[in-house]
Amino acid sequence: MVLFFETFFECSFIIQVFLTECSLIREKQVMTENNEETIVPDEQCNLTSSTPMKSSDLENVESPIERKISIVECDGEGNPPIESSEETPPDLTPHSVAPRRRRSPRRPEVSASRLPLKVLNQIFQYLSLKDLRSAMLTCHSWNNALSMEDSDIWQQLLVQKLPEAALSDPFLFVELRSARKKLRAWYFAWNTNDISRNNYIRTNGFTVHRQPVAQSTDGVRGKRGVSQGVHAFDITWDGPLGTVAVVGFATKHAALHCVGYIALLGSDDQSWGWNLVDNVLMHNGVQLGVYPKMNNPPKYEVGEKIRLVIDCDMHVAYFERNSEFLGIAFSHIPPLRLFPAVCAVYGNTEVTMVYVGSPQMG
Amino acid sequence: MTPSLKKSPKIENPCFKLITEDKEEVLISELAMKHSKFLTDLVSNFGFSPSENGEKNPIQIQKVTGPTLKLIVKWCEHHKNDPKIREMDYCTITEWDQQFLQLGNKAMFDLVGASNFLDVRILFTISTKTIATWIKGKNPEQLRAIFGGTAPSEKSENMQKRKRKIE
Repeated sequence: MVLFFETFFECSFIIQVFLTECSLIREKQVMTENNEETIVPDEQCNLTSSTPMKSSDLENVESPIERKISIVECDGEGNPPIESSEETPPDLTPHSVAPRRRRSPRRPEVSASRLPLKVLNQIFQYLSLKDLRSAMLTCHSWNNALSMEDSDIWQQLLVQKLPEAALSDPFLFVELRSARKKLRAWYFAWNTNDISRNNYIRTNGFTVHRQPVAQSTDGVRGKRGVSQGVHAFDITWDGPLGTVAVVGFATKHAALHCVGYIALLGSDDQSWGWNLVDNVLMHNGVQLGVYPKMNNPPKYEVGEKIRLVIDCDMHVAYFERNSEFLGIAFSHIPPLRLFPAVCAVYGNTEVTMVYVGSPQMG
Repeated sequence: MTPSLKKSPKIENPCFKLITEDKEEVLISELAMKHSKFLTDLVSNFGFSPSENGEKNPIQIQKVTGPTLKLIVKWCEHHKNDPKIREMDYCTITEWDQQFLQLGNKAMFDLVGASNFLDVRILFTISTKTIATWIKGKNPEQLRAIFGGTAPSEKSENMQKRKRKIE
């Protein structure tokens, strides 16, 4: 839990500054999967602004998407930050380059928050994703600088993390228009470690391929599961369906492989699935009925885009096909961490999954 | 009599005088000034030439304070004989630079802002890298202690998730 208080208490941080002689090359840090729930504060703040951000070149400015972004003074009270050289506060153990400690939260002695955008972009370019997260939570102007979806910072991380094949594919990210969203989709893509041994993930990182192994049903889960909020995953079945082709979601414990050709996803209480071949919903081994609920629902055509939406707050899940809402598929979903999943039986079939974030309502 | 930067001047102490907003005067030699694209362009556009102690044509510099400008000039003078002046990936930070960059917070931020304004690319790069090292590995509370700023006080579900996903 990261909690934010208006008043800070005085503690003594000893902040070490490393100045290495060798180059501070942009590190390719592997993001450690952090599955614990951290509630983080809002990026979107409604404090009123007075002074706009100073910036010499606003070359990286892109109008942010529909969120309200307000540019604020750092000090919430409206006092301009004290820039004079104030004396060092008492009871410190200063490091040789220790930054001056703040005496009280309302009057920071130094304020880097008002650095111009270009400078901030340059600084943030050298940080890893984890540090960027910390930076985003630090103050409003940094937050605003980092919430620019297409700024160089995200582009650069995108190029680092995503495989070449994914970046050059024109159709993969049709729905996602910003670098940041694509980066996020990468973090939710199919999990190479959570996959049946008969499947593998193709070089673009987003498509799973089932090898032609006889008498086996194989599945895969996404890298990240969801347990709060509303999430949409665009799933496209790129290969032939075969006799059983199930799209759905599962907990961490659902099986991803079994012998024979069965609807693995939905065979126990750890998974929920929609079999595209006969349009039947499955959970706990029970067929829950035809979906969508109409006479003769249309068969799935290869290449159609199915959007799986998991609403963890209302505990329902539903599917959309080509932007057409098909009805609620599953309700009373338990409040567990749920991963998007598919299972397939046809050899050399492929399924692509792209995380698109929160679906646009209405 | 056409002023040109390439002509080697026969005057005693050929340099330019820079005057900041707070009325401080700093002298910078012609060679050192090459580090600052802003100044180089300004001088060539106006057709200034270096003069003895910079008496002719002093240059007014807005937005940069005296102490900061002195720092920048000091760095430029030290590096004036560097071969590649505008090199992009200036990876090695020399010992002298390290020593030079041991500044307090405020001084460092002023330096970064000023080197951005004066377009001293190498100094800008290494000082931003230095600040990036300050940020690395810290949580927001610590960052706020160093850099100032108030915490966002409102939370909303959407943004929480957004943040979490970005991790």
